[in-house]
Amino acid sequence: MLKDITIGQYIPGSSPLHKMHAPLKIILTILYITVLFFVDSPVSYAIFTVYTVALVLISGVPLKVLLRGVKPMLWIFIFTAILNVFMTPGEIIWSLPIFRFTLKITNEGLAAGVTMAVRLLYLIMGTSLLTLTTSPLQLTDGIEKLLKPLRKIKVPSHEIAMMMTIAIRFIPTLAEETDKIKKAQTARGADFETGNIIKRAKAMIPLLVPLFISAFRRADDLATAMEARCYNGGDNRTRMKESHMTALDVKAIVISILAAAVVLLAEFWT
Amino acid sequence: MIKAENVNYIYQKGTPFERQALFDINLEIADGSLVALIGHTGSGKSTLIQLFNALVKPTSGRILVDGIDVTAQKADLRLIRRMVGLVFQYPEHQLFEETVYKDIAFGPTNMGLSEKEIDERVRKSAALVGLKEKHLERSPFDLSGGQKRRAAIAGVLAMEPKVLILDEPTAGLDPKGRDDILNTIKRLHEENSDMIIIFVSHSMEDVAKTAERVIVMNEGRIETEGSVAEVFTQAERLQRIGLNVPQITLLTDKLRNAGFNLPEEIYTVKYAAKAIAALVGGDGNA
Repeated sequence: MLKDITIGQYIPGSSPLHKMHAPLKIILTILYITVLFFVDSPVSYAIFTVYTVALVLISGVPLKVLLRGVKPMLWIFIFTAILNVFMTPGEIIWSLPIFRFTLKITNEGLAAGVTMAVRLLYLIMGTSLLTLTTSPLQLTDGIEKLLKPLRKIKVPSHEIAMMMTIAIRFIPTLAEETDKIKKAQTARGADFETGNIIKRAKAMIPLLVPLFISAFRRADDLATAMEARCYNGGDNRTRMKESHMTALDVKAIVISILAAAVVLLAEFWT
Repeated sequence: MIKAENVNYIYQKGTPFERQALFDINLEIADGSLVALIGHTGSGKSTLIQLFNALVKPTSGRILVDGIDVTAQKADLRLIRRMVGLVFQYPEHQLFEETVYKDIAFGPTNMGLSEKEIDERVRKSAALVGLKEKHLERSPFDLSGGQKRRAAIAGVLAMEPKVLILDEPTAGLDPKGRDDILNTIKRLHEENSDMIIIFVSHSMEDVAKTAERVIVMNEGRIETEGSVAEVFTQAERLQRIGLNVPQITLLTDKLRNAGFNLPEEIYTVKYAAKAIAALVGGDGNA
């Protein structure tokens, strides 16, 4: 159950997407998302779809893995689609009176529902591509580099990146710990599976208290270990492996901007 | 009695991570035994003990505890967990209540016992592990490491299981804490004549001092089993699978090879002292 957590899951590979400079990849993902929110017409959607499919193919990430990240969002999809389908005013194509309300589907609503669902799907796929092709270390490194200019206004960019690295690193550890405590309490007759919501919530206490305590203990140990090795934050800290922009990254910039331009042109000129 | 019949266990079956942890385990443990389970990391010990109280189910084969099939599809899990108490590694990490008393009462409360019965059991099991009355009203997090562990063990004992399984009960404790736990195990064994106690250990000294029978696991199979003497006289075999015999046995083996006439089955310091004293003429008070 807990092994299915996909946050920070990284599929190692050697595709161009894997090799890209991480900060740039983050910026280009943001560009991807921004363009996605301008896309509305069928033509630009078609172009955007081609672009997305191309990215997925280049990345070499199995479609199955990509869709696994979409699965937990399924309810949000359905919910958004339904709200859009029924709530958008316009040309009515089907209606059903219930008491004082009338349930109606409009042409515009149908279009908006589909558009929103596809937009959400691409949003998740785009960001999943980023996390699936970038190791957590590279990712936080990239975020740190992007936040660096903000140091001038006292944003602790290195500390933020370090916190994220540690948080991601400890997800599997905590998942394992949860599993262990759950088993131990089950052996003492705890029941996590049956009963109503309140009973189940109460049943979580024997699980959560030890979990929190162990998380704090780990944090404490880690802090001590880091201090013992004279760790003191970002100032003047260098890296063993510096990542730099390469010709590949320049190509990626050109392609991304071109793709964005084409999509936006298609959107606003037609 | 615990009986395992042709038990196989495969982790994450049907995925690329598939790995067989147990191969065709056949086992019989009689009532009242005090058994040590030893083996290298990854030899399947932890998997095996989790099978005994149905926390995990075997891929094939069955396990009977007192004639009840704990591996059956419709097994009564509540009953099984009452019969087989499992103390995990570092059990103090599962403490969660405000007071030691409440924490020990967690198991019996889940069993749905009356308040009076729960109270009796809490006090009895606390006394069994050597916790004093004054400890009961304290927060479990204010106890020392050894006390915490004993409180956690009391939590399982309060369910009055017929079978008590402890996974590395002495791991990470100081010598005093170790001895306390081992003495508790011995005392439990002496006072409950038909309780089965199984403990997993990496310390051959602990095994030699405490257990009566030893089961040796290696790569998911039972390598050998028998009395402490029977197992520890197979030093070579144990060393081949990455285990060892107690250090004192290694020492007396060397002495014997050097020409001293010492018996073969020496595995505790006490016994070694006596044997050496008998040889050189002294009283053997080590």
